Formats: sequence, structure tokens, C-alpha cells
Amino acid sequence: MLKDFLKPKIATKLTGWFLLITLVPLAVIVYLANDRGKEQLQHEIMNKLVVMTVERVSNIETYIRETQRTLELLVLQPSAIRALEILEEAAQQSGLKSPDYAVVEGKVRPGFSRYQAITGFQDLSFITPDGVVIFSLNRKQDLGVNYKIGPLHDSAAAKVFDLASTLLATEVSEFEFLRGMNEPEVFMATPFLKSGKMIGIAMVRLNTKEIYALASDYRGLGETGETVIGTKVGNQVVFVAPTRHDPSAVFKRKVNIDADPEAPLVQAVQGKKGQGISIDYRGKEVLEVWRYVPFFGWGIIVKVDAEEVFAPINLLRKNLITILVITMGLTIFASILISRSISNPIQILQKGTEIIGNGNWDYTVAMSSRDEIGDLSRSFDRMTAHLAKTTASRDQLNAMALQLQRSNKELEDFAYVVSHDLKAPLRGITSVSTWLKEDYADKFDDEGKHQLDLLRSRALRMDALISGILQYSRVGNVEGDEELADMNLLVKEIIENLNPPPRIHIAIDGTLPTVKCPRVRMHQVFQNLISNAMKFSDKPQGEIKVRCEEQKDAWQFCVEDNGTGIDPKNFEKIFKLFQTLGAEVGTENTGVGLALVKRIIELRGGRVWIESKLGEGSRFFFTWPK
Amino acid sequence: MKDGRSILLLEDDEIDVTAIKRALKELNIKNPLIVCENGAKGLEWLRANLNALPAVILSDIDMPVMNGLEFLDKLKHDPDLLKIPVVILSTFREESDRAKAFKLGVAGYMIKPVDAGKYLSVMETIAAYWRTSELPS
Repeated sequence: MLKDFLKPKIATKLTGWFLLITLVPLAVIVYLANDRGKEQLQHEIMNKLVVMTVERVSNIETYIRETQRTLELLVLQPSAIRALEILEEAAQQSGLKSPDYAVVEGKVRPGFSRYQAITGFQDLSFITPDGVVIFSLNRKQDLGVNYKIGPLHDSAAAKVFDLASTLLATEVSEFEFLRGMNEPEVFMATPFLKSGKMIGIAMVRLNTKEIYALASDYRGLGETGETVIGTKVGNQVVFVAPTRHDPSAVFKRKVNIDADPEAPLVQAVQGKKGQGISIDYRGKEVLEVWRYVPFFGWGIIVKVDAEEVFAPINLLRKNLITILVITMGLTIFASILISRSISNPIQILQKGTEIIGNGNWDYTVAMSSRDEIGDLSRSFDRMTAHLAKTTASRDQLNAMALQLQRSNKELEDFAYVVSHDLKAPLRGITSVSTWLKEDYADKFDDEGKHQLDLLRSRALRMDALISGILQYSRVGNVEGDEELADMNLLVKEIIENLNPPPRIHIAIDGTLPTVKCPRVRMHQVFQNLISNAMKFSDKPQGEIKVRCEEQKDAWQFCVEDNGTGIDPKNFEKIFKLFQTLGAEVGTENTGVGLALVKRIIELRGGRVWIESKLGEGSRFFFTWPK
Repeated sequence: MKDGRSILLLEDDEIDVTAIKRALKELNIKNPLIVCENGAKGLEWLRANLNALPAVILSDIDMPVMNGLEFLDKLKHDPDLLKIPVVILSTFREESDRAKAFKLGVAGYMIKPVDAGKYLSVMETIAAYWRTSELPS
């Protein structure tokens, strides 16, 4: 069954080509779509990520600046300066725990509370140039803490106080994870300046949540996108913000700088920017962009899962492959159908030819379809009908041939028997007439003897005629089987047998071929023609020549003599049975010879004819098909 | 022939018989000539004359009752008779006829001449041959 399918049938060929034509372009498209699509998408997304990252960094920057401006505005307010001064005075004169201080504090507090409500600072505190906290809006416990020398002197707040008082400019602290807090803190400090002299520091605690919010804006990052923010702590980079996939990562997840110097977070924290595809902290492949965030010294990564990014492309590819497979199925199906529609009729036709070829002329293959195959089948039937009418089937031919053979044989047997039965009495007549002449010679006069001679000669003639008939009838039989015979030898043999007198010279002109013939018959042909030529030789020097000319499908022989020649009006006549020219009544010429020659030649499919001129000689031609 | 043995002739045509008789006479062959008109009569005579069998049998083919070839066949199957040489004298000159005769063991096959006068040369030849050929006794 499989072998059958693999034969170069129409179905196979058609299927193969269809598949090739449809699937190759599709496959190329799928590949290209996948490949290019991925590339393009990656490019696009990366760009977006870069934009987003830059945006976020910029947003943070803006936030800080705004906060800075707000704070700086505060410290310029005369009321704020005045508040600081009286607070300082009260703290110095009476101490932070005194009721005087409390009164002053109570007076200034509402104003700053309002301020806090508007700005959203987590806390507002004032610190003396010595580092003592003399006012805290939300953390009363901080009053009196000395950043310079107290236990908090190492804290981020202390550091930023120090920086601000030294540089006389607004500073932002690091993010600090302190004392049992759930969240880190970050501070901003600004100096109060009066007449160019620093009289205190205003410090606020920033809203880390807001900062995170800016950084961790997942808008536009799909389902899996997130930001990772880290800061350098020792030889590690520590996650400072919760991530989408790990909200508890804050200060818990770390990346060792020495162990993984090429890690994006490490790179970012060191101030290097970049982008690429790699494996993230979850072990998943991601597209990421990393940048450095000033102010806080952060490294920020904005990333998105590769899976999510390429999802549309992958889906497209899956869909295309599905289409491919379906197309393949449809193509195979269609091509099989189509090829069936072609090969089935052809098979019907083929079977038809076999049946008809085996002799059944009545079989028809007619198909009703109107296409070329239908036309073929109808014209095929017409041909068959025509053949049936005009051609005898092999059986008929065989029967006819057999019949013909039988008739021939019957004729031959008949002629054979008849000729012998006719000959016997003739023999008697010749014998008796001879004896009469011998025994009664004295009783017969010359006239009587002559008449006896006539009697004898007629009887002899009759015998010759009968022999001629027998010979003539025998030409049709199969006794003379064909063989290759050298005509040169044959003719030479005949010349010898005929034993021409010296005055007649018979020769072969050139060389005669070796032909396929019944030797006996060919012998009869040449014998008759040459002996005829001898009979009609009237010149003192008789020349008889035999030659042959090769033609495409036959040999053309010629027996030429320089004898009496033949009148053209007799050309047809002399080939007739028993037809002779001139008075050969007394001779043995029965007129059978040429008729015999003609019969032999024509039965073989050749032609015999004469060219002659009276008085000059004749040329007898005959063709012998190869 | 050498000795005085007879010649058996099987022939039904009177003229042919006469022709042979005349030929023998002309050749001065004195052996007695026995004539039977067909093969059956010939066999009869032979069986009746076993002690005086002919030196040679000349036979026609075309005879009624039993023709020459049938006679030949019967002769050659008869232990007493098969040694006698048979010469067929016949008008049938075709290859097949001759082949048949020789298959049956004929010693010679001569064609009857159309012209009775020619019988002479035929008989002469036969006589000459048998004068030379050594026959068993």
C-alpha cells in the first residue's frame, strides 16, 4: 500500500507540488514573522523601558526639587525665623522641659501643623546649630536629642544635619532602616539663614511611600513589569523598595557586588547605565533597563518579563503554525481529490483499452464528464466502433487465413490428382502412336506417318500443359519455406543446367545479393526468364545479362537479352497462362513459364514488367520485397 | 538378368505393359515377364511361387485394390519376400512420393516417360544396373 503510494502517480506528484507551493511560502512567512517580529518588539519595548526609567528618575528628581523648594521657602518666612528664635530663646533660658518653653511651643505649633498638612511632610523639626533638636512636630521624644554627640550622631538624620550645616545648602539623606521600623526613613535638611549666618536647621522626614510610588509606578509595564531599586550598603546592593513580585524584599534581598559585578543593579548603583535581556532575581528571563538615581545614590531597574513581551509574537507563531498544519491537511486532501478525479477516469480508460485490446470490440468506456478526459473517452469509443466495423478481429483473420490455406491445399491436391489421371491416357496415346509408326511403317505412307507425328506431338503438348497447370497451382503452397539464398550461386546453377549453346552468352552483371526467398520458387523465376531469353535470341551473338539494383524496401532484378524484342501491345498478354507469342505449337513452350513467374512474384508482393524494343531486345524486371 | 529368373511387373495400364514388353524385347532380355494388374494379385502370385521368386519387381504406384506403395509395404514385412528388390515405375515425380517410397525400402524409383519410346532407356538402365548388382540367391 505504501509502495503503491510512493509510485510516481498523479496523486503523489500533485500532492507534492501543492504542498511545496503552499507550505514553503507559509513556512518562510512564519519564520520571518517570528524572527523580525521578535526583534522589532524587543527594540520597541526596550525603548519604552528606557523612556519609563528615565521618566521615573526624572519624576523622583522633580519630587525632590519641589520638596526642596517648599522647605527652602519655609526657612525664608520671617514668621518661621521668628518662631525658631523664640523657641531657641525659651529653650536656652528655661530649658526644653520648662513651662515657658511649652507656652512658646504651643504658640508656634499650630502654624507648623497647618504647614505640614499642606506639604505632606512626615515630620518637621528644628535643630540648633549645636545639633540640638528644639522642636519636633510629630516626635516629641526627639526633643533635646543632640545629633552631634548623642546616640543618634551616626544616623542618617545626623549626617544630613551635618551636611546641611556645613554646606549651608539643602541636603537629602540616605534611606535609613532604623530601630524596629517597618519602613526606612529619609530626611531633608535646610539651614535657616539670617544676615548670612546659620541660626538653625529645618529638617523634614520625607514620605517614602510617595517616593516609592514614583519609582514603582507599574503603569505601562503590563502584568509582569516592575521596578527594582537598590542602594549600596557595604559590598552589597540592597533592595530599598518593595517589588511587585516580592513586597517584603525591602532591605532583605541583596546582591553581592564582588560576587556578581556585572549584575545590572550593581552596575546601576555604580553609576553605569544600560539595557539588555538577562535572568532576574526570580530566575526568569526579562528585558531590563537600568539607570543611576542621584540624590539617593540608587540604582533603578525597570524590567518586564520576556515571556510577557514576546507573548503576542509567540501567539502569532502558534497561530501561524496551526494555520500551516491545517493548510497542509487541506492541501493533501484537496490534491488527493483532484488527482483522483483525473486518475480515476484514466484508469477506466486504461482498463478499457485492455479489454478492447483483448478482442472485445463491443466494450465502451464512455464517461459523462465534459472535460478533456470525457472527450478522450468518447473519441476512444468512436475509434473502437470504427475499428470494429472496418477491421477484422484477429479471430476472423485467423479463420479466413485457415480457410484460405485449406482451399489452397484442396486446389493443389485436386490439381495434383487430376494431372496424374489426365496424364496416364496421354502416355498411352503417345506410346501407341509411336508403336503404330514403328510396327506398321510399311503400311503408312508419308502423309499417314506425318499424321501420326501430329497425333504424338499434340499428346505431348497436352502433357506439358498439364504439367504447367500443376506447377502453376503449386506456387501458392507453403512448401517453399523462405531461406537466405545467394542469387549468384542460384543463377550460375541455372546457367549450367540450361547449358546454352556457344553462340549465347549468359552472364551476371555485377553481383547479385543474397535474398530471403523460397529457393525453389526463385529458381523457377530465373529459370523461366533466362530460358525465355534464350528462346527469343535471334542475333548471331546472343547476350543475356542478369543484374540487380537495391532499393529501399526491395530488390529489383533484371534479365536483359538482345533477342527479338516484344511488341508493347503484348506486354500484358504474355504473362497470361498458356499465352505464347508466335507459333510454338510444335515446341514444348506451353506458355506457362511467364505466368508462373508472375504468380510467384506477385504472391510475394513484388511487381514484374517488361521494357522492350522490337528487334533490339528486352529487359524483364521484377521486384522482390525484402 | 544373369540367371533365368523372372521379372514381376505390377501394372494395370495395358499400354504401359506393352511399352515395357517392347523395351525388354529390344534389349534382348529373355527373362520371363510376369504381369499382375495390382498389388494384391502380385502378392498372391508371389506367395504361390515361393520357390520361383522373381529377380526384380517392377511396380506402378497407381493401381486399384492395392497400390504400389501398399504392396511395397506388405512385401517388406514378409520375411520370405522382402529380399526381392523393387523398382517403382511411376508418373508421380514429386519429392514427397519419392520419399515415401524410399522410406518403405524401394530399391529404385524411375519416372515413366511420357513418350513410350523412352521406356527403352529406362529399362536399359535397370537392366544394366541389375546385370552389375549382385543379388542374393
